[in-house]
Amino acid sequence: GSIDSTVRCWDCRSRRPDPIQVLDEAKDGISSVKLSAHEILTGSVDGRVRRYDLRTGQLCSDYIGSPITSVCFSKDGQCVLAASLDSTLRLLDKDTGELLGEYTGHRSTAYRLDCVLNEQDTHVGCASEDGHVYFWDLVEGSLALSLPVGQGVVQSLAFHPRLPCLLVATQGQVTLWREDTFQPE
Amino acid sequence: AAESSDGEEEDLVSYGSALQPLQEGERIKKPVPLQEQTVKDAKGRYQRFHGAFTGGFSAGYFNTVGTKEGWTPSAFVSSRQKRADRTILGPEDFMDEEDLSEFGIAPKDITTTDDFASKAKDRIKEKARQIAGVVAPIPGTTAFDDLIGPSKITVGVELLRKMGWKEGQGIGPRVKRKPCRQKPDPTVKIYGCALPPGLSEGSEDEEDEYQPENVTFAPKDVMPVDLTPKENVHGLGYKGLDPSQALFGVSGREHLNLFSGGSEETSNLLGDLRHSNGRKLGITGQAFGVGALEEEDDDIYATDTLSKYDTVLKDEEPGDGLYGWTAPKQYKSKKRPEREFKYIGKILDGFSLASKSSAPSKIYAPPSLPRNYRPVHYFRPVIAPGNENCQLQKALEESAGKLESDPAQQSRHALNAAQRREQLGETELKGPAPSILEYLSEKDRERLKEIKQASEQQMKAKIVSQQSPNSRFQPASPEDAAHKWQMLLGGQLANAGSSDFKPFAKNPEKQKRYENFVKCLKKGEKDTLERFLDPSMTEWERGREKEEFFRAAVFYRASNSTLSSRFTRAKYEDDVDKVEVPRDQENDIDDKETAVKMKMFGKLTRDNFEWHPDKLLCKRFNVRDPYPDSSVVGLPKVKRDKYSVFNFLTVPEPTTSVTQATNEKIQESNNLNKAKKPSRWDVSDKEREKKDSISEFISLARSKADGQQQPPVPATEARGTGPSETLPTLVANEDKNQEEESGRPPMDLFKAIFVSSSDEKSSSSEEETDEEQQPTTSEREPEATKQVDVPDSSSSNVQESVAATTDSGISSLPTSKQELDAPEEFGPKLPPAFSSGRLCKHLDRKEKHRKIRERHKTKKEHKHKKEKKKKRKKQKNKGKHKNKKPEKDSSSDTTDSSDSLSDMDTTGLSPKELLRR
Repeated sequence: GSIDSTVRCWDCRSRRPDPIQVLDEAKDGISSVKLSAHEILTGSVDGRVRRYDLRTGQLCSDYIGSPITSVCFSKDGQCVLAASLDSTLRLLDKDTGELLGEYTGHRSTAYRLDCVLNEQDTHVGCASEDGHVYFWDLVEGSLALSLPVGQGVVQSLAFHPRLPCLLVATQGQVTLWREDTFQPE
Repeated sequence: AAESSDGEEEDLVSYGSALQPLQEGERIKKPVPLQEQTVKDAKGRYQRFHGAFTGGFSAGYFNTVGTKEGWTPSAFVSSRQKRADRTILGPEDFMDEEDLSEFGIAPKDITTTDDFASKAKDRIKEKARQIAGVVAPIPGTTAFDDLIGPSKITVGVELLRKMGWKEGQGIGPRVKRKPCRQKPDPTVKIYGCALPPGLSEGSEDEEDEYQPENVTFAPKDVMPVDLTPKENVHGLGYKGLDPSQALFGVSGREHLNLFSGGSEETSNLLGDLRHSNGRKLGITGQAFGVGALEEEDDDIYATDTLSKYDTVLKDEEPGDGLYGWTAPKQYKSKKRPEREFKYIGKILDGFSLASKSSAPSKIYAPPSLPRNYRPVHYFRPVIAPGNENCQLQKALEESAGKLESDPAQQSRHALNAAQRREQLGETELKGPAPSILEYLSEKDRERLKEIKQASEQQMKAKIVSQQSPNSRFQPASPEDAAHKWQMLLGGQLANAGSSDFKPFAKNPEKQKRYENFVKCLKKGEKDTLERFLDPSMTEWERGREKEEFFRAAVFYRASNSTLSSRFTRAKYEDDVDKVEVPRDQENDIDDKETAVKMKMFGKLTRDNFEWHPDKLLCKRFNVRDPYPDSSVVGLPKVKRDKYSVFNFLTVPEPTTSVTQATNEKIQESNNLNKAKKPSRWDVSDKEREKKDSISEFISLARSKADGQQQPPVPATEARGTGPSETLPTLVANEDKNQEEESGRPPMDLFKAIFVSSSDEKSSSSEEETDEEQQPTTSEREPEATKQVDVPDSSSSNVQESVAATTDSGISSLPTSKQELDAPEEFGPKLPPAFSSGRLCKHLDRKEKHRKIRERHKTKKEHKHKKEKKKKRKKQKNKGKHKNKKPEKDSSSDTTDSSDSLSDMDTTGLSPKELLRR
């Protein structure tokens, strides 16, 4: 994903420097790209979440309005989580584009902040500009946890795909968070 | 056996050398076993054999050559500095010393060289080789065989020699005399040095005179018969340039042998015949230059060159050798008829040569061409004289030179470039038809700008005229437009429509229409303009085309053609008047934004496109290519007409009208949303209500509903008030605009269109307010909230009514969507071949009908709707994930049960009752 509003797909197997396909449908910079087995999910500053389905050969473009900062698939691949600059996370049904959930409370107005889903798809997390990481219950939509990780903007956030394990980057620090019961070996 | 007995020593013959007698106590040496027998070279190094077939041994140390280190690569020496002492390496430089030894591959012992080995050559072979050399594809190449093949004396030759045969002789019994004397070719002049072939015999014959009678001679050597088949395409008997003659002039007229004093080897190589008898004739040749004692000084540098051969088939001059390109003048100037045809060959028996030659056939001279004739043919279009485009015809005739323009009539300066070109007889440069704006002068551009402005006014005028409900989508009346354009164009039209400006060349019919149109326009026949337009086209298209024609006529100026002649037409035609645009575009975001505000994600915010992934991408994703046959990558593109009137116009986006249309949609969809999702996601609506006028209205309705279940302020009335208020002002505007014909922004057009279209509907809904519409909308909200409050309430009819209301919301949703789409079709992005006007009106009517039907029709309709609704719900539920839809469990099963109930209940109930439930 590029700031020139394109998504470029390179073939790592060949040594060709030029991309095999350029997805130039976005009207503004691409802020986030995620892949599933057969899909390319992009979030763009033009306020749209585009999902290129290679299997069906379709492009689904969902209009969110506010510039998208981060997108991600749910673990079951049925939903799409999109964080946008209106300090809102939206959980969309992948097939219909309908809104399944909306999560607010954090602050995301200027930075490109990450959003995550936990390893069991039960909670939705997002970094915030107030130095916290927020977690919401996915179904209830209620704020479950506000994790203070630093003073400044939480720049990056990643959740372990299988373990309850969170990696947070803020202000030159990378911190790893585990559950309370975790015993380091 | 040798040591068997000393006594018999004399009698015995001893072979070989005796073994050393064994000393005392010495053991007999065991023979070295085979596997231990090693081969060593002179320096004691092992030589390893490589295999049975190759038989070679390794070179050097473990397959490397020479030293233990193997090859020592020579250091690179720049040939720039050491160019002088650059040595040429022979094969010996890469050989080991063993190779040069006696048993090596290149023994360095004394051997007899060719020169000494076979002094006597195989004459027959030589001759055969000579013949082969002549016949060979490249003559003389066999001469180089000597360089390669060693000359050997075969056993047969050796035997013959022992029998007394000498080279150069024939084989057989000796004869008394030569059976026939070979005379030298009389055509060949012999001047000197080189001995011509056959001279050897001649000289023998001459010597013959002095021989006594009893001397016999060996038989003459017989040339082997040339049995080589003819494989080439040369003529019979053709001989290529004989290198022995061409290079050295051994025989023939030019006989100068430059190398006569040269080495014997070269002569040998080329099969020179001088050594045929093993002796020289003592004739020395000329060197470069003529000696003082020589008499002949002509042609000293002449050699046999290719230029002396005929390269063109022609009759040869008979006779004395004074022909060819060096022939004297009188031969060449000899006239043909006077020349005597003489048959030179043998005359068959029974035939005699004709004494009188046949009369020469008379040859007529070809007609003399006109002086300015050029042998190039131009294809010119044929134009019927009766046709209207006499202008075109005249231009063509002019260019063809048929119509001589009177030079006295026009002054020199009055001529344009084309006319001058015509008079000078120059060919016309074929340039493209002038493409428009680039060629125009500054003044013209200004004029164009004015025209454009004027045309915009014209457009606005048109828009105004469209506002009247009847002729809404028709362009301005032809008389008006024509008159206006006539005024605008003025005298410029004089030049328009000439032959070499074809703005619609790709569409011949259109071009024809255009030409007729322009001609008409020039004459000022305003009323006939219309009849040239395609009658099968729609009103709107015709208006558009007319506009196009007007523009094209304006853009043209005759002088541009001269400018355009400087450019050449593109070899490959590219569609200049087409633009490639994505077929589907993400449509307007205005309604999307509203939908997002209402959290109406889903259909409203989603655009689905056909998208073609790259084949390789599919492969890497391990996914089957969804479009295996298509070569398109990405979004499919289509070509759209670029040359459209609307490209010149910029019309603001019809935003307000959209909001008007979305008003209902949002309201209904909000209901739908509420009915379907009574979740916390709606909480934030409260804040938005203040900002949004639409949501304000909704909140109003909701508060009313919350307060009491009485009929509140009718929603439809609220809805209807907006348009109905604007209506009178619009009507006023229309009148005003028709007078002004200018000044009003094109926005109003859209407003007028959309408002009035929804106005029709709202008026129709106003009629029905007393029937059902009012209670429907009023009750919708309470019912919905009720359902939210008591989701498990046993009253299935509540659910039913909810279903009905939401259903109506849904059913009206597409219609509002259509309304949304319809206005867009009048906007600037209209695809060219779309008769939108009719369609829209038709749509409106249809919608109205549908609405009425919806409201008036009873159970059947409802049933049908419910089925649809069921389907929808099922569809939705299918896609949902379980834990993401908390409301699903409560809603879906109740709807199912209610549906089954409702089918029975609805029979015999009025829709009003139904809704009340």
